[in-house]
Formats: sequence, C-alpha cells, structure tokens
Amino acid sequence: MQMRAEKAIITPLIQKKKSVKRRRLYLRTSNMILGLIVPVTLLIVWEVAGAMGYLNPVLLPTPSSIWEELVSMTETGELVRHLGISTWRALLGFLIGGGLGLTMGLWVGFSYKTERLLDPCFQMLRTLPHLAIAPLFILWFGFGETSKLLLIAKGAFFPLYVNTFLGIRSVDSKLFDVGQVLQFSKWQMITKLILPASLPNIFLGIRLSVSVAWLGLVVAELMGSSAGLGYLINDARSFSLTTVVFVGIIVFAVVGKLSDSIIKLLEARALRWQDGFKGEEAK
Amino acid sequence: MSKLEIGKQTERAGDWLSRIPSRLHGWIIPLAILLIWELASALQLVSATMLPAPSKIAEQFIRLILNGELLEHLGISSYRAGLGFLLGTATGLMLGLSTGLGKLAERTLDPSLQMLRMIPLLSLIPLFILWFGVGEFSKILMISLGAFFPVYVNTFLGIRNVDMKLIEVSRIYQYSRWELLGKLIIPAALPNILLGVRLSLGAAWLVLVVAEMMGTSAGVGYMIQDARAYSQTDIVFVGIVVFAVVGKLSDSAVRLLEDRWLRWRDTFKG
Repeated sequence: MQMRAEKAIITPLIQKKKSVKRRRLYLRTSNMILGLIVPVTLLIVWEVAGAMGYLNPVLLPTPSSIWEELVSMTETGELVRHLGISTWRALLGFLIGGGLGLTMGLWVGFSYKTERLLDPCFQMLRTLPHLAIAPLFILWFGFGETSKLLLIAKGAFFPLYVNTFLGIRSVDSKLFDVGQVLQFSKWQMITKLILPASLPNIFLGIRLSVSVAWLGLVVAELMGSSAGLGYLINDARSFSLTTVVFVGIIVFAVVGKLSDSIIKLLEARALRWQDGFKGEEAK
Repeated sequence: MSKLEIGKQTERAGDWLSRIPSRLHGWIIPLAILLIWELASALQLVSATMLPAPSKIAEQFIRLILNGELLEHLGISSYRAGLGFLLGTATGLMLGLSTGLGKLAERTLDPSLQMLRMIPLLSLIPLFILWFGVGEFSKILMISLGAFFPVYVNTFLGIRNVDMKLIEVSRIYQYSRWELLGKLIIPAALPNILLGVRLSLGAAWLVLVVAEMMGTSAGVGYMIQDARAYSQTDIVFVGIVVFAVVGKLSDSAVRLLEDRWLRWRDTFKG
C-alpha cells in the first residue's frame, strides 16, 4: 500500500524531470536554429547575388570563392607559414610583456614601498593609447622584429600588471591571520596562500593580455613587415585580392578565439578548487 | 604581534621615504627620469633625433599651439571621433535595447553579433580601405564599429540584470509598457549603459589613432605619422602626449556624467 503510494508520487516526478529535460533540449535546438537564421540567410543571399553578378567580385567575393582561397592557401602551405610567423611574434611578445607584467605586479603587490614609488608611474604610462606609440617604436628600432615585439610586449604588460596587483591586494586578510597561526614562513605564505588566492585575477590578466597582444600584432604587421598574417592582408589589399583579405581576417578571428578558449580551459583546470558561483548548472 | 610587525615595517620602509610628504611619492620616479633625460640630452649622450630633450618637446608643443597647427589637427580628430562615436553608440544602444527587451530579437540577432565581435576590429581596416577608400567615410565607419560593441553588450547586460522584484512591483502599479521602459528598465540599466559608453569612448579613440595612421591628410594621427617620416621626433612625442591627455579627459567627462546621473544609487562607494 505504502509502496504504491510512493510509486504514485515518484513516477510523475521522474516523468516531470524527463519532460523538463526534453523541453530544455527542444529549447536549445530552437535557439540554435533561430540564431543561425540571420547568418545563413545572409550567406545565401550573398552567394546568390555574387553568382548572378550583382556584386563586384573585387569588392565582395562570394563566400564559396573565399572558401576555395582558404583551402588552396592551406594546401600550398602559405597560410601556415604566415600564421606560424605571426604566432611566434605574438607568443614571444606576450611572454616578454606578460612575464614583466607578472613580476612587476608581484613586486608592487608585495611591497608597500615599491607601490608608492612605481605604481603612479605605471598608471601614467597606461593612459598613453597603446598603439599611438607604434610610430615612435618604428623611429627608434626601425621596421624590424624588435619594434614589433616591443609593441606587442608593451600591450601585454599592462593588463597582467594591473590584475596581478589587484589579485594580491584583494587576498582575504583573515587568511593571513590563519597563515600566521599556522606559523607559515614568508615563502610558504607566498606560495601557499597569496599566489593561489590571486590566481583568478592573474588568469583574467593573462586573458586580457593575450587579446591585447593579438591586437597589437595586427597593427604592427599592418604597419610594415615582410611576413605574417597582417602582411598577407595588407599585401592582398594593395593588389585588390579581396578573397585573401577575407581569409586573413577570418584566420585572425579564429586564432584569437582559439587562444582565448585554451586559456579558459587552463583556467578551469587550475582553479578547480574554487568554490564560487558558476552560473546555473546546464543540463 | 601583527600590529607590532606592521609598525616595524613602516618604520623600516619609511626611513627615507617618510621625510617626503606621501602625496609626492608618486612623482619621485617620473621627475628623476625627466631630470636624467634632460641632463643626458644636454650632455649629448643621446641623439636628439632619437630622444629629444623634454624641454625641446615642451617648446615644440607651445610652438604648435601658438601657430594653431595642433588645434586644427585636434579639431579634425575630435570631429571624426565624435561623429563615429555618436553613430556607433546610437546603433549599439538601439540594438542592445531591442535584444535586451525582446526574446525573439535576442535569439535571432545576438548570436550573429557575438560572432562578429570575435573579429579583431583593426584587421578590418584594410577591407574598409578597399571598400570605401581612405576617405572620411571609411574612418568614421571604422570608429563607429569600434564604439558599437561595448555599448551593445553592456546595454543588453544592464537590461537583463534588472531586478525581477522591481518588475513585479511595476506590474502591481499597472505601469504601461512605456512607463515600464522609461521609469524602470532604463534607469536600472543606466550604470551598465554608461560603463559601455566609457568603454566605447576608449575604443573609438584607439581606432581613431590607428585609422589616422593608415592614411589621411589631417588629424593628430597624421601629424604623428608625418613627423615620423621626417624624423621630427619631438612632434611625435607631442602627438602621443596629446592623444593621452585628450583620451584621459574624455574618460573623466563620462565619469562626471556617471556621478551626476547615478547620484540616486545607494551602493558601496569605498
């Protein structure tokens, strides 16, 4: 008797759960379809208009010809070569600038004296629009690799510096007291408490730095170089090869997005211990 | 114990710093650098074409102001930035409002806009030059594109963050749709919208710098690029400083507006 009553209560509950699940699935697919309507119609109209000769192929090549260009450039290895050079520049610049930003942020964060002396300087420099410095760097170091790397490094420095500093300063002071009760040495305090606690901010800084480094790369390469994605785009523009320009822009977008996703993944792994609100669980 | 230690630390840190008023601490290093820089140029340790003395830069700055050249370039640049900014923020606000208020608009438009947001804005410059030439139109369009996304994203977020409880209260008061929009949703979303405006002002300014360097015949960016071609490094420095100061000033202006319009807010202000 009791069993049956329980069953009578539980079965509808299970069914309800299932129907909720089904409804969520339905909602998600309908959302995806609705979201695809605009881009897909746009692509079709674009392709059809191009095929019927309404569009000037020099100004707006059809999506299919852009795709063909992408495939052929990948096959000849040209795209990979330029992409490799660009990635190398962005990575090196990011490592130099980000590494300096991290050390400076740590130093300024730990020491009150350095904060009073150095932080106002950095804040002053931060107001300079990042890319306005480019002509100065070109004057100083020429069009070569140095000026590009320095421009990228300068861009990558500030987000990481600011966020490392913020992260260290927002460590909960109660945790410091706990560390003192446990008689942590200074070194232990840094490695076991301060660094892990400021890691979320540091990761945010890294993500911002990477995106700024990527943007700086675009501009540095557009300003003048003999290889790399920006050069590819600029060169194609001067010969009116619009398909290549499109391919370059798409590759820039995709690689930028990918690098961001990789850092997000790393962040999720490194901060797995974190017990914060992660948004409602998606089922 | 901790108090004692802090006391010790400040004593140690303050052995020579404490003699200087704390408000001036931030100026020590910049002033020292300026002094060394000036001395090094006076002793001709650095070449004047690479690194002109600060006094030379100041002189050049005054000269450019007096003959009106700087103001002319700055006027053109501000006009471009202003027009592009207005265009971009207006469309951003409209689209942000429509996707924020309408579920259907959100589902159809937002994914496409998010996709477009992935494209690094400055890589579009060559395409814009191809399409619209190096004239005024392509620059203003570029700047408005840069100003569009921050306002759009933040308007959307601001509307979606309006407290549900307040909307229920408005239902009890039987607000009409317009009243709901004008008296509740927009004021509640205003902090986010203004944040978006500030971000987009910064973006507009950055795009302006790059767009003017890519090719124009006037504007502060042109002044810098032109001076670079003739190795007039002092003018390059003047241009960079002007860019920095105007960018900072416009940011402060929006902050002031923020303070005035959001005075009713009752939040933690530090």
